[in-house]
Amino acid sequence: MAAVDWILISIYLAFVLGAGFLTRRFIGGLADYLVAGRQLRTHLAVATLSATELGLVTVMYQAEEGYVNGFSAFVIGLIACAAYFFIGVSGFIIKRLRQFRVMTVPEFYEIRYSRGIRVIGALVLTASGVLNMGMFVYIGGIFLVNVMGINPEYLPHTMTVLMAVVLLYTILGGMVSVVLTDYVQFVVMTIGGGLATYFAVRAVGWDSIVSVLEVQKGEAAFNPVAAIHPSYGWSFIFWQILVQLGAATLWPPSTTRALSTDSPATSKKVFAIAGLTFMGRAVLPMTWGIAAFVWLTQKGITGQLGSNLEAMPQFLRAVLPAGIIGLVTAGMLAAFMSTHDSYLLCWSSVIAQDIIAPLARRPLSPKARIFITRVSIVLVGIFLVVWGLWFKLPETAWRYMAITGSMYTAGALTVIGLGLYWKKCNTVGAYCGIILGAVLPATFLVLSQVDLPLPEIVKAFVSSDKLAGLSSYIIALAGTVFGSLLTQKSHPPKSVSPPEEVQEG
Amino acid sequence: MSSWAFFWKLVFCVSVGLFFVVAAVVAVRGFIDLMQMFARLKDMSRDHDR
Repeated sequence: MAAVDWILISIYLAFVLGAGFLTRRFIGGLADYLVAGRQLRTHLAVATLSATELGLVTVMYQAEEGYVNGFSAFVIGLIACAAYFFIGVSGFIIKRLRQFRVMTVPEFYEIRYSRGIRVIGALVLTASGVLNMGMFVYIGGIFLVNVMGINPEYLPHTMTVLMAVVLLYTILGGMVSVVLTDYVQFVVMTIGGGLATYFAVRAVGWDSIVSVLEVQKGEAAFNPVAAIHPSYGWSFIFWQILVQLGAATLWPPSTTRALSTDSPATSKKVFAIAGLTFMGRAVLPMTWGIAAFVWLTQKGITGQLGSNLEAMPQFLRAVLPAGIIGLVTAGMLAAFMSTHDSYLLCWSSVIAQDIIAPLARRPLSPKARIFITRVSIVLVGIFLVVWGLWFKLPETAWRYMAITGSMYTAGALTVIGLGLYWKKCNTVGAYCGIILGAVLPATFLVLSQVDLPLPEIVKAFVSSDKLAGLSSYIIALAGTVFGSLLTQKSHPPKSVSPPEEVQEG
Repeated sequence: MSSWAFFWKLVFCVSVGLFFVVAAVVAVRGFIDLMQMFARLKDMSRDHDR
């Protein structure tokens, strides 16, 4: 990289750390730290939601999907766009959840069901969330090592430095610094993303992309529901619809944005507007991945890659001019940080608010809760570096994200969705939904690393992420419905309604 | 396959166009929201101090 690239990256890092220090003075209480005092208005909330969901890891796994599956991968973007837009227009789940004025998703579990559900729900959520985030630092490290031309031996060092910077400013500023850096990242990422797409497509040409994909990958690169698709097909599509609905409504880093807005109506608007950008969020990096495949194929060096994830950063390094590569790398670093800070703050606040606080014998003061949140941030950060170095990705990075996310969203989508819209849903049903939803994805993850002595038919079922993921939603729904209906007399359902909204600001 | 290729080209153009139009609007109006949020938080922290 040229000197100008290093200067751009250094300026950005200095700004981010400065933001953490400067925003400390705005943290008056717990609500300021966790949901920015519920002060987010529509456009700022859209910027921060888009920035959180357009992380470096997102860019990497989307690019990998494009690299492996060609244009068929665009279907994931179409589904995400449709899911967010549907939620934004209908207010499905998020509007009612915002009306309850909760700060974390499991708080609703206690209001609607019981304290036990809140704790077990938070445990599953934390396990799913931290595992989902488990490969973030590793993938971020792979990008930086390849795009900056660092010796791969230094991958662990790169990962540790990245984590240290993120930890420092997230601990200092909480949600206020997260919102500020998210906004800057949104702007830098948009400019960098546009330039990268222009240079990527220009380097290979659209017509070459189509012809190389036709020759190398055939119909599977164009038709996601082709009769014999090596990795997609209808079961994948249905699973993705549920994953995207669950992630958009109940994946806490997204939901926190809905809970941080100044009114339930703003929450709806945020999702409708953000939905429009979600197709681009997938399509832009996927196009880089597709262009990387074509470029590497034309050069005849596809076999030299350590993993598919390395293709896109190596391609960008080769085709982007000096200055642009610094801007794109700063944008990616920004993307990496804005996702990490939100996710770290999110999972740590769930640990403090929904696991430790409900189990504590005495009520915890807001100061104690902020302290526990900060300690949890550090512990989760250490786990991420260790897990990222040890765990081997089963298929593509996106499939890992989707299966770990399903561990939580399968149960949560059912239990919270039915809790909001079905009066008969009770505590027993909620336990069944949360636990059953987590079983299959967890089994898949274990089997992907260790060969367990299971019958062949069971192995065939749980070793397919599509089947394990899709089935987790079905059994969570069945468990919640039957568990509730069979125990209506012994465990009568709670009837709750949201408190009246008081407009703030 | 050519109809699929045309469809994905259309998806690419529409999504990139939408992405940048919405991003430009959000960047400008988000900046105004950001400044207002800091002003409100500043007032709130001043009230806390009192």
